[in-house]
Amino acid sequence: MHHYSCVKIAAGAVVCVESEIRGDVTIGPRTVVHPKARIIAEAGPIVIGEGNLIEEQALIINGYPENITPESVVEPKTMTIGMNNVFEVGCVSQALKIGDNNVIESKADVGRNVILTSGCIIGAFCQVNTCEVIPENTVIYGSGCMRRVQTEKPQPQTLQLDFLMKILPNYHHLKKTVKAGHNV
Amino acid sequence: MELSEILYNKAEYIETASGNKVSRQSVLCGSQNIVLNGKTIVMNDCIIRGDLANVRVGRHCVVKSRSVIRPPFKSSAKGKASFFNDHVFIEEDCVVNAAQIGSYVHIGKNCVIGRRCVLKDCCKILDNTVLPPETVVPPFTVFSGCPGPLAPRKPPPDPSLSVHLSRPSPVFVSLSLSLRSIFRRAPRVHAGPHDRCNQELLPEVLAAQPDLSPASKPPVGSTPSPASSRSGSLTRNKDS
Repeated sequence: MHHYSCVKIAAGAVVCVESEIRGDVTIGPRTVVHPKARIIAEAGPIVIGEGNLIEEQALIINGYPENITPESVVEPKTMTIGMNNVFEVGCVSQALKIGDNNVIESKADVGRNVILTSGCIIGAFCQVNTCEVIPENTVIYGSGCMRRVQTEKPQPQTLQLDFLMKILPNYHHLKKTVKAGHNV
Repeated sequence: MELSEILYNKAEYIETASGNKVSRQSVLCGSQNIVLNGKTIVMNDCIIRGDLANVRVGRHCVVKSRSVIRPPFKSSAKGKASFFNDHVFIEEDCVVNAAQIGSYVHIGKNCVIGRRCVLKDCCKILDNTVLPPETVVPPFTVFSGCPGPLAPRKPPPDPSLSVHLSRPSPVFVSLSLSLRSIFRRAPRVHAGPHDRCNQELLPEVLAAQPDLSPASKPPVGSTPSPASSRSGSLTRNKDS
């Protein structure tokens, strides 16, 4: 299976060089990727929308599902991430479809079969490994992963994004679009 | 809580003139904004984000592996700075977004300290705790749970028990001292005659330093009022 390592970074995005991006990843404008963030597109491409904030030690991985035999052919599924999402420090996200305005807090773990609609907040340390669609404006919190529905979606982090887009280039080298095709 | 000595590979750590030991595998972004005040240890794979705002870390702090220290973001134009006082011990895999951490704080493994939290002196955060944003942790409390404080336990007002609970601070002072084993020097302990020391140590201390006023600050960096009991146990740790 050949993967073309083709990272397409839009013009307004701020992607630090110390972040690790592997595979076929498309990053939209106004997205900020902190150093030491990891975006790994193993089993298919990842498309990240605009206005997202991916903090350090966050892991967004489009990986192979578990329990497959080596001979089986897994068709590549695209992982889509919408706009204005926040992936805080140390979270792990394998969800194939993430909508807009979601917040995945520190050390949260979102499994592959979860679909986040919009406005969801996955609290810190929560592990969501079920096979379901999480309705809009849901907050999952606490050690028992309790849920509640809130009336409005979380605010987009425009102020923080603007701040970061101004100061991160001062301290880090940024990645530009890599248009090389490598056979991995 | 007794901490064992950790032997480290000298080649892996950069040692500065003021005694800071920073691992070469840690990531210090914006290092011009990071101030480590001396004798601080940063272990491998830590991330300290000085590019977001200033980070001021006190003396004798220990940041263990894979922890992340990032100053919180404030909605005003400039990010707020992050101040850590002396003797802060942060264990592995923590995420610390706190605005301010007082002295002698112990943060357990795998914790998440929310943004703009304020941790006052001598508090203890147990392992696997999540502190919601903007929590203020009062002094001498123990927080645990997800979300903490699931069971904030205050130490009882019995003074002998509070000596026991404040013992962790000299214990990890002794850890950081053992990591700097090259500079092993007995710390000079100042304690006045009417400070709360263990009785068997008091004549020894008095014989060494007979004419000190209780208001003199000990050079190890502890504050006078809660340190009276602590300096007693500090000499005991060094003797053992």
